[in-house]
Parts: sequence; structure tokens; C-alpha cells
Amino acid sequence: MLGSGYGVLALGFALTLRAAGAVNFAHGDVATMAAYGGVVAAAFGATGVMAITAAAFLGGVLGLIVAIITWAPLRRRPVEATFIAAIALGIVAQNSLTVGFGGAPRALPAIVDGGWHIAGVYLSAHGALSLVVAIAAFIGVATLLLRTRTGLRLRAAAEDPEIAAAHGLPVIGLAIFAFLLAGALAGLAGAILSNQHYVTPTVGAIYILKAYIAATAAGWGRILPTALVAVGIALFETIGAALVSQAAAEGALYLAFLALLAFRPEGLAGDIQGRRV
Amino acid sequence: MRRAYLTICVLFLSLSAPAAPVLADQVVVPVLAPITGFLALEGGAQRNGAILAAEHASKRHNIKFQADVQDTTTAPDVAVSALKRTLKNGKPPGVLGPILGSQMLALLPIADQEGLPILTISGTAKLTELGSVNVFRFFPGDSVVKAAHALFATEQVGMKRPAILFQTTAYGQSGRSVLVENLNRLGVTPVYEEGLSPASKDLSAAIAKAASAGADGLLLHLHAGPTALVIRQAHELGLNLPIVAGSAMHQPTTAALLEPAMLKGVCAESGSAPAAEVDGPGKAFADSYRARFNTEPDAFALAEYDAVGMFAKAYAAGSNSAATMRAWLSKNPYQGIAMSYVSNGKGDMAHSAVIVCYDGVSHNARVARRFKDGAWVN
Repeated sequence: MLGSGYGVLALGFALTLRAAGAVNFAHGDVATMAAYGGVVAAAFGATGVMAITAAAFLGGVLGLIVAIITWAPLRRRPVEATFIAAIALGIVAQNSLTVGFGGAPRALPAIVDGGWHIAGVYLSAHGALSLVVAIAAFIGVATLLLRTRTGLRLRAAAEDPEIAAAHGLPVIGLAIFAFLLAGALAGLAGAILSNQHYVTPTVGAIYILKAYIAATAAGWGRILPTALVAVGIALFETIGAALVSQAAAEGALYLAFLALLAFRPEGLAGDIQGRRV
Repeated sequence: MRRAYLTICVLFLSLSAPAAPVLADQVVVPVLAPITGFLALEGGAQRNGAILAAEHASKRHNIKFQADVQDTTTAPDVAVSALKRTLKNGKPPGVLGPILGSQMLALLPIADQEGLPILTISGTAKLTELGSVNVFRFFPGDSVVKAAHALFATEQVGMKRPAILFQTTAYGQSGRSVLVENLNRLGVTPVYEEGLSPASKDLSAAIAKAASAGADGLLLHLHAGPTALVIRQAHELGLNLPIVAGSAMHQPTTAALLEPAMLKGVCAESGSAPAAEVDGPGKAFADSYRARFNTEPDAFALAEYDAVGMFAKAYAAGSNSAATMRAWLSKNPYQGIAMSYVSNGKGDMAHSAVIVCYDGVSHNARVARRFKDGAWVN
């Protein structure tokens, strides 16, 4: 389930990276805020499915807000301006959540309760369903990008915004749509992770670090490889913790990442040319 | 133009109006607490305890005590900046320091340099081992709570092969070493130990390895979120192991993260457990706290409440400078709500602990044992 959550989160992160050239460091905080939206919905009696849907919807709205505040006015500035603005917005979000909800961890209700013991391993029904949701999200985004007119336009605008604009494509609108979709994916990821792993105001900082590592390791701007690498990161952490220890697994992850940067800086699937930040 | 001129004049006059006078008997109580960051839960409890204590002390002593809370987040340098800002307004008789041990360790040299008493509820053992005369700890240190933790686990629960899961933070590492010392003193050696980062989410591997090592119980020394994660994941793995957790598990907000059935066989050490008290001053405090903040109190809030209470009593007795405050705190006992406090000469004021246990049916804990000066008192 950790892999499902990381994968969906990284999918959204890579989407805004590719479509708008934006390193959205507020993406993890969007996931967190959306998860809290799900917590509020649950407090009003929403079931697991309703709370997760509310979180995804709120995530989309928050993605839109991030685009309007941090990307649209700064898109012609150096790329660092956008991600510093996103970091600042993320800090505002974290502190707002702390003031509003306090520091106590919260949990969303499960999509469905129960689970199974299989060969000594426990698989929760919520975790299994989260995997199905994550796979559906991957297929959905892949279909959108590769098989639809909107996806074609998104890719065209991402490849060369000036030429795309010259051909009459609404480049800004397409980028904002990418932020909205990425925000919805972040909300979904936040909700998936918050049932079993809880949500606190600052957890977004951990999520965005994993997403950033996945995006860099996969190849800057590669959307589906980023999602798959994020799943791989979760597996690496779990297997490493089982073989050695939690602390060693985390250290090994960052060492592996450094080694990858040293020997294959373009990432496993190669960079989209000239886009790395 | 004329309207603009008149507006400017009105603004100038209103800004020039004298500010409301500070009451001559108003006493600012500086409180440094991690209100944001990963310790926001504990920092919030610290803040609330201080605010409530200042309000009650004002009525009790007929002096207006005002808790002035500053956020130290979780970085030592932010705590240092907060203390220096406090000192810019003149040296107060004392300061309530942050609950985070690493921040307190950064503040102690400044406190010693300034001769400033610093009252804390941090449990990190090292704070009172550095020889500072300015630190006063109002939460039982690791030497008290971990003794209770080890004794309860071995004597009451019957653990002979415990596994220890501890946080990799200063709090976790400090507590773990004192816990192991106490276990060894009781003739018990842990069969497995692992340090966990506060950011880790999947702890099932560590739990499974503890079980594979032949552990007959889990001893936890973790913050709130990881404590709940371990208990949940241990339950999901089907391990029917008794768990004696650290003070994070006494907090009602931690218990609320788990199904009651997951709490069966779970106990926790703490300085106190106001939410579990059914009568007496503890219940009165809990009721006041709930009415004031609309949330359940925990031991950290109560410890801070008692710390400010003792500060206020000392001030009311004439200790209105740093030197006189330090002298008063060092020499006098104080009957707080959680326990009676008296310095052991090193700054440890709190010498009692409790063990709370959950029944597996509700989220409510009950006080199972009380511990004072190295032995059970009930």
C-alpha cells in the first residue's frame, strides 16, 4: 500500500513537471491538505469511499490554487522562482494545518475493513483496493496522455510551449489542467496513505522527497517511469528493512540514489532533454 | 484631497494614542514550545498547560501571570533565537523551556551563561547530567519512567525476552539506553532492538524480526504516530504479544488512532495520566482543560501546568529575579496536581510515574500502577 500511495503521488508530481516544467514542491502538502479534507468529511459521517473521493476532489482544487499562485505568475521567471514559491506555499499549508488541526496524527476511514493472512503476511482489504486504485490511476493517466486529443495537446505543449502556442494551443490552460489533475492524484495518494500510515501536518515533506527522488531516478519529466520507480522505492524500503534494519534501508536508498546520479545522471529512462532542475 | 488629508490626520492621532498601560503586577511567563513541526502535539499540550496554569495562578495569587508562548519548531537554532529574543526584553525570573531534548541541550549553555532558570518537561536524561544549576525538570526523567517501564514489563507482565523498538531521535536513544540498563539490573536482556526513524511508515519488518528473535513482548520508546503504527501493524501481523509502550501511548489522541481491540494487552508508562483520573485534583484539572481547550489533557500538559504553578508560587513568595527564583526552586517542595515536586540537587523535580493500561474494549485507559522513588506505591 505504501508503494501504491507513493506511485500515485509521484505520477502527479511528474505530470506537472512534464506539462508545465514546474517542480511543484507543494505537491506533498497538497496530498496532506486533501487528506485532512477527507478527515473532516469522515467527521461528518462520510464512509471510506466518500472520504477518499472528497480528498481527491479537494486535491484537484488545491492543485488549481497552487497553479494560480506559484506557477502562472512566475512561469516566465527562472524555474527556481516557481519551486521556491511552491516551498513557501507548502510551509504556509503545514502551519495552517497545525493551527487548525493540531499536531496529533489523524486517520481516514478504510475503503473497506478486514484483510487476509497470506503466507504469514497480512494484506488488508484497504491495501489491496488501494493497489487496484493506483493501477487504475496509472492506466487512466497513460490513456489520457497517449490516446486522447487532450493528452496529445498536453504533450505538445510540454515539448515546446512556444510552437504549441503559435499553433493555437491553450498552453497555459493545458498546464493548469495538469496541475488540477496532479492535485487530484495527490489527494488520492494522501487519502490512500492516511488510513494505515496516518497523516500529520508535516508528512507532506516526506512524501515530496520520495516523489522528487523518483522523478530524478526515473528520468526528469518521465511520467510513468517516475510512478514505477516510486513503487520501487517503497519496495526497497520494506525489503531493506526486513533484511537489515529500517535505518539501514533508508541510508541504502539515498546511497543508491547518489550512485545513480554519479553513473547515470540522466536517470533510468533518460531525461526529457534540457529539463532537469 | 481634503478627505485624504483628514483621513491621514485621524490615522496619525489614533496611532499616537497612548497604548493601554501594562499592569504593574503583570508578570510575563516566557514559554518556549514546539508548536509546529513533528512535535506539534506535545508542544501544543505544553502551550495549553502553561496558558491554563497562568490563568489559575493569576486567580490564586492575585497577580496577573501572562504566558507568552513562542514557537521553537523542532530546530535547536530556532529555540536559541527564541530565548535570545526573550532576553532582549530584560532577563525574566525564569523561562519555560521546550519539551524537545535537543533544543533544551542547545539552550542550557545560554541559560548557564545568563544565570537563567529554565523549567522543562523534557524527559531526555542528559539534561540533568551536565551539572547545570539552572535546569529544573518537571517531567520524570528517563531514570524514573524507564525504571517503571522495565519493572512493570518484567514483574507484572512477565516478560523475560522483550524486544525494544526505539526512536532514532535523542529522546529515543536516551530512553533506550536507560531502559536496557534497568532491564539488565532485573536480570533480563532484550532479544532484539531496532531504532526507527520518526518518518518511517512501514514498521512491519521490524516487528516481524522482533517476533522471529523469540520476543515474548514489545517495549516501545517511540513518538505518538510511530507508537500507533507499531501497535496497529503488530495486530495486523497477528502477533499476540503484550506491549508496554512509552509515554506517547498514554495520550488520548494516540489511542484514538487505533481500534479498541488493538489496544488489548497494551500498557504505557507516563509521568501522569490526567485523562484516566476519576476523582481528585487530577480529574478537576482534566475537566478544566477540556472546558478551556475542547480536547483531552495529557501528562505533558499537566507537567507544564505544575511547572508554571511552581514558578507562580515562587514569584508570589518574592522570587522575582533569576537568582531568587533559582534558589527557591532548588530548596522548596511543591505539591502539584500530578505529584509532589522537589529538587534532587541536579534539577530533577519529578520522581513519580504511572502505568496505564487499556482494556481492549474502549479507548479509555486506567491507571494500573503508581511508581515513586523506585517502588510501586499501589
